[in-house]
Amino acid sequence: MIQDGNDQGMTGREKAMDGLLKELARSGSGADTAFVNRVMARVQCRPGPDSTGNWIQRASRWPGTWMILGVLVAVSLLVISGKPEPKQHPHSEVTAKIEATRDIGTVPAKQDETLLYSATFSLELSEWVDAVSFQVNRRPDLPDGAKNTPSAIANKANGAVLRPVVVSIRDKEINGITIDCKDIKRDAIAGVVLDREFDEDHIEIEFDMRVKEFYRPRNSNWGFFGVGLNRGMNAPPAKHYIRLSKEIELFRHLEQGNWCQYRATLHRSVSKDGVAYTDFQQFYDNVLFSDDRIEMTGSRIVLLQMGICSEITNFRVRRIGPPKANTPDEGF
Amino acid sequence: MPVEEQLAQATPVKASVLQSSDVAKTFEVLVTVHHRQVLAYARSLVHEPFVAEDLAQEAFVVAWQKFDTFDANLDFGKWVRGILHLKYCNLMREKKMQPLPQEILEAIDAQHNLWHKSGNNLLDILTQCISQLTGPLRQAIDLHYLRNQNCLAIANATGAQKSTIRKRLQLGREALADCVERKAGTSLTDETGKASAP
Repeated sequence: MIQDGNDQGMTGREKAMDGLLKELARSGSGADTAFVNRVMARVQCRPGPDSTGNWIQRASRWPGTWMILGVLVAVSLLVISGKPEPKQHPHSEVTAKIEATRDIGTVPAKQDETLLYSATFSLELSEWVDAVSFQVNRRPDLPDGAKNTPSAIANKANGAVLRPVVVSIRDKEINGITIDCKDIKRDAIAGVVLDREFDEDHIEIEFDMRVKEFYRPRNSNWGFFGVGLNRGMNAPPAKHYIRLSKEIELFRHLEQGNWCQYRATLHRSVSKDGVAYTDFQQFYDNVLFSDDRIEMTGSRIVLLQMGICSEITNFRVRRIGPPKANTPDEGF
Repeated sequence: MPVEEQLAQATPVKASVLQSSDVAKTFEVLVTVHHRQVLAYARSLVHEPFVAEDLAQEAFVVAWQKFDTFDANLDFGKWVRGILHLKYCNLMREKKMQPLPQEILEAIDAQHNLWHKSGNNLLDILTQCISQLTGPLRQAIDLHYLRNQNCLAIANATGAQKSTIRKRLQLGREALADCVERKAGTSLTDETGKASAP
């Protein structure tokens, strides 16, 4: 049997003190408000506004004990026209309303069958957004029994490179877009990228979300809904997935139909080893449910989900601080 | 300690909380009061901080789900630590990892239960105790816990043997445990009727 790595040589009293010391070193002697808020966010969530759209009604239920992930989230890329002027617009706001209205998908009875998906998104964007793109990431097929973990999916060495399908609609009409994503396989990871090349070090996003369905991806019992910053269209780093994967339980608690408002504050920062990170915080109302420190790979906002099918509306982006000088840009 | 007392000790807000029927608010106050001790307990059991935090979070979620069955005359923190203990055992079984020996687990449980019985903020007390620690023991505790250095790194930095550093850490932990018990007014030896430390 593998040992946990905890020092097996200590007495119980020593281990008790060891835990106390580690906890003191972690967060001082005061309350860890973020932890409390994470717990409370998991145990309560106030219902939000009613949905204004008819989001993804599945054509039929998939048979079997495992539920194939059939998630589509659209990707909208909000690109500022020109360089942002944080000093002039320190609190500029973009509002993007994302409503997926229908799913014409068919349900694959076998693992290799293709999930057809379609959704309509309407976006209400402020004047400083000039482009919207949709991206649907799909993961390559993995054989039955293959390791199906967040890290495996995100690990390029495993051959599990996400292949984005990007539909860019720059300079086109952005309301009423319909995209067909015909090659989303089961266990797909769907992502929404709101891309406007943020230069700011502090960005706040806010959205209403409710879970429509939960799935159990093949060979796994995890799923996630995450939000973070990502530079490119490729897979975010494994760390991104891993730290967010447990949040599925939060959404599982919400069950279907409960609207909740979430807010994520993304701070760019640099660790002592020179890798750029973002402090990730999401909260409902004033309730934080995550302040995980995840690797920041870029400047686009990414919403990702796997194992759940959710509905998002009232997406807002707000700069809450000017960019810092000499923001590290290496290592992504 | 009854919930009412736990709440009353926490903040002045508690009285109004108790009068309200807002169960979630009551639960939140209890989480606020007890979460650090539960996290410390989790850190006593597992090495990885993320795992410890997950365990603590899961324990609180279960506590919430079972909150209507909780006896308000009992110590909420102790109850949650009991849930966490079970979560830990399940985790070890699922991961096919070797859990801590039963006698060690029981000793850890007993120690945390005792320390937290006083209702004092043990982390505050521990901070005071560390500040009173001097010499090589203080150095070892500082470097290992507060600066996150392993024994080998500390040995290299101080010119001492690795085994010496381990011994210093052991002595430091024991000294701190004694100090915490003195300041908190609790002692396991007192509890068991045996001779207490001077």
